[in-house]
Amino acid sequence: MRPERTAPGDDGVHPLWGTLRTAGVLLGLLAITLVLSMGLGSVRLPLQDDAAIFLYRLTGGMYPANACPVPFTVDGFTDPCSSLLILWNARAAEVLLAILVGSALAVAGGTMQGVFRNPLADPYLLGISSGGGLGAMLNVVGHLGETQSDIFLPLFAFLGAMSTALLVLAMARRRPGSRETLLLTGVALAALFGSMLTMVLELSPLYDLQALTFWLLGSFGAASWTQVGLAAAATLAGGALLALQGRDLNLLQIGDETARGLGCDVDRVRRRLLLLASFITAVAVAFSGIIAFVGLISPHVVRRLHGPDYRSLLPLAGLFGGLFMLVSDDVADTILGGGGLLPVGVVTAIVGAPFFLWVLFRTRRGSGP
Amino acid sequence: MNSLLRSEPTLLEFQGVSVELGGRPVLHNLSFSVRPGEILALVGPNGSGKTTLLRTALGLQRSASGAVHIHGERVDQMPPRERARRMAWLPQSEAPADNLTVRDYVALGRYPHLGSLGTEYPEDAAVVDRALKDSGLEPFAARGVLTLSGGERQRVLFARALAQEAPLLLLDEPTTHLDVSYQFQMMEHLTTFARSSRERAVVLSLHDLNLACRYADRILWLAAGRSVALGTPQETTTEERIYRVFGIDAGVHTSAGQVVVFPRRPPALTPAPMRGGQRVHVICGGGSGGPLLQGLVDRGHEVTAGALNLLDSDQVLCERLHIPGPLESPFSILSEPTRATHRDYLSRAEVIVIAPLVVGPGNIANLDDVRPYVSNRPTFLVGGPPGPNRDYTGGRAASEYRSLQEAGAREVADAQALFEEIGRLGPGQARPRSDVREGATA
Repeated sequence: MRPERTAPGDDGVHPLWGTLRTAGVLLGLLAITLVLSMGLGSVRLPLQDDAAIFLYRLTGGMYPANACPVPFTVDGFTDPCSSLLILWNARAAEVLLAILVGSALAVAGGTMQGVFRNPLADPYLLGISSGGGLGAMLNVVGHLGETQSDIFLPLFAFLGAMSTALLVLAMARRRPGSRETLLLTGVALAALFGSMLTMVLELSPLYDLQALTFWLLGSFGAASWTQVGLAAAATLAGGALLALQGRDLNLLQIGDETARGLGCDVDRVRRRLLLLASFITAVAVAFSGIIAFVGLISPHVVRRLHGPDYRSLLPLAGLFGGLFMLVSDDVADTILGGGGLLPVGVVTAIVGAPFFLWVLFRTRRGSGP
Repeated sequence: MNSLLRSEPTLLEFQGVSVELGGRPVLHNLSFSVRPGEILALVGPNGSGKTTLLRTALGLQRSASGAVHIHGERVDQMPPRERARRMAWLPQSEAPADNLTVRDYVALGRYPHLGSLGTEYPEDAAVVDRALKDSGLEPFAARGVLTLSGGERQRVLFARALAQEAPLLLLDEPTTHLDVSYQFQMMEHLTTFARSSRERAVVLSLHDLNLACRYADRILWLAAGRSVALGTPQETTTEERIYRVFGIDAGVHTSAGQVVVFPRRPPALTPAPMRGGQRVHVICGGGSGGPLLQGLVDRGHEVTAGALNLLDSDQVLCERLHIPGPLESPFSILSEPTRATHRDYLSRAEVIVIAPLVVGPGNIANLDDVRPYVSNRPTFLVGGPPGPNRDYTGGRAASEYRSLQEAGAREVADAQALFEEIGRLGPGQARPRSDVREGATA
């Protein structure tokens, strides 16, 4: 990081400490929300049981078949201990996946905003969402691969998303140096694939439609530990690589010409950043569908809270995105009362849209993306 | 010593560089080199290729033919970071999108020196601190860049270039957005930079010819992508060159080795009543013509003046303004041939003006010569008859004035009153002033 920084008026505080403090606050909030969230879900666990199981698992105890740690009652029924733990396991996977996907989208969103110098950029800018949708459609409607697997639909969605991003990057390479070309190519392909998706959906049987629509609107209900493992590996690796390039992102903010003058190979840096951001977005899309606004607003919140330095912005946005997604998922699970599941994408948009407008009108006053 | 100087390697060298933008040739076969320790100014009108030249030097613009070398190595074959360690670049404008602190902004200058992980070491921090100090930005270090004024922001860019620690500094019109005091401050900073080490040099494009003449060691004149001249301001700054390169009518004045360029009124801006102007002859001297001559020229009159001694301040002014008239050797009493020429001028004049000049034995003949011409053309005595402070002829000048007044000459209070009186006379027969300009620059 940056040792020996004591600019006057800095209160003599190293900025790294400020970043760590904010990160600490966000991590604390995330931990509290995580514990509270465990009890929510389509089937509720009483809070004290949730906490007890949580502690039990954390202390490393595997479930002993005949030594259930706590008495348990769910909705008046007495359940065998094993099924409760199964329930807890599924919920834990859902919660962790929500956090990972939220983080990935936030980091990717921050990167996109930085690369395009546009406060309205989001992770889906290069047509990743419609590409992913098209991939998922091939799996569900086209009956390619196993349709009921926790891996095949994500795999198809990932391939669709990633190949769209690569296609955009490859096409835009014909005109290097132009952010606009890249942006417009992405917009054009997104529109094309989006329309194709809608067309196929209109022509599909109802059964397929429901499964696909639910995926498209985004949810974590079907999370599995395999998914969590893959998402964790991709998000942590991709996110860390992006966070390490905060300095390059800072440099891109002051203009291509200056960045080139400072020895930055702007086109290469930009491609590398977009490739990484597309990768973690594609992974997020694969496991959760299309969840709007998390990737757009998380970087903006961090900018307001902590400033525009991308070296700290990306990691903090990752934490905030995870927190925001988890809270949204909890709201989605509880808002309809017992049993009903609302797609989490609906909630993030309801919270996100007004926020988006607020940022939009604030930016007009000249504080940049 | 001479051979030592000659063997010194050039910092930056252009060898037959041509550049095309979108198929259109922008630079033609440019060859020049930048010497260590010098400030080289690029001068030329908009679109003459100044920015393209700088961008080509930096390797940001590919050349169609020829090569640019820095320290003898080809710029376009150099890794970007290596290049940035040798050349720092300040583009014409830079609008930072994010509100980074001044310190973080200046620290971006360390980019080419950092490893791939971007780790900043205490040495880097020390360089940034020094750059902040040298550009007087220490009090601003924690401020957001977007909260600064244009001049302060320009200093931040300069500090960043310093933090880059490159021996060669390239700047594209660094003074454009600055007020006069910041312009000079910036140029002083650049001078300090260039003079602080034999390895350093500055190349910059400038719109202001006077700044270029004041601060540059050499000027490269560009017109339509071609090098028109390269040399010291004293050698290369001429009225003819300024007219050829910029198409403007400017005067060049050198005093004490300092070249000063002052634009005369550009042809397109000359006021409309050009054609109807009067032929005005002004009798002046010792600076008394100052407020009158430029004003009469500006109002479209065809002005002559005299008789004047060479090197008289009014004579210098007349030369700058291309005002013809009879001339006498310096510090001499008007001779008969000069007085004859003077009478020629007087006979052709439609209006005669006598400036509030100091009359002495040297120039009293002007008043004698003017008397016959007063009766049949409007004659104005600006400031009235000379009092004791303007009369060094023991009252003779005052009596000359009296006889002029008797012959019909009228007294006007000052230059403004004079312009109004002449304006009231209606159109005369003067040639359009553009003839004068062409005659002067041909």
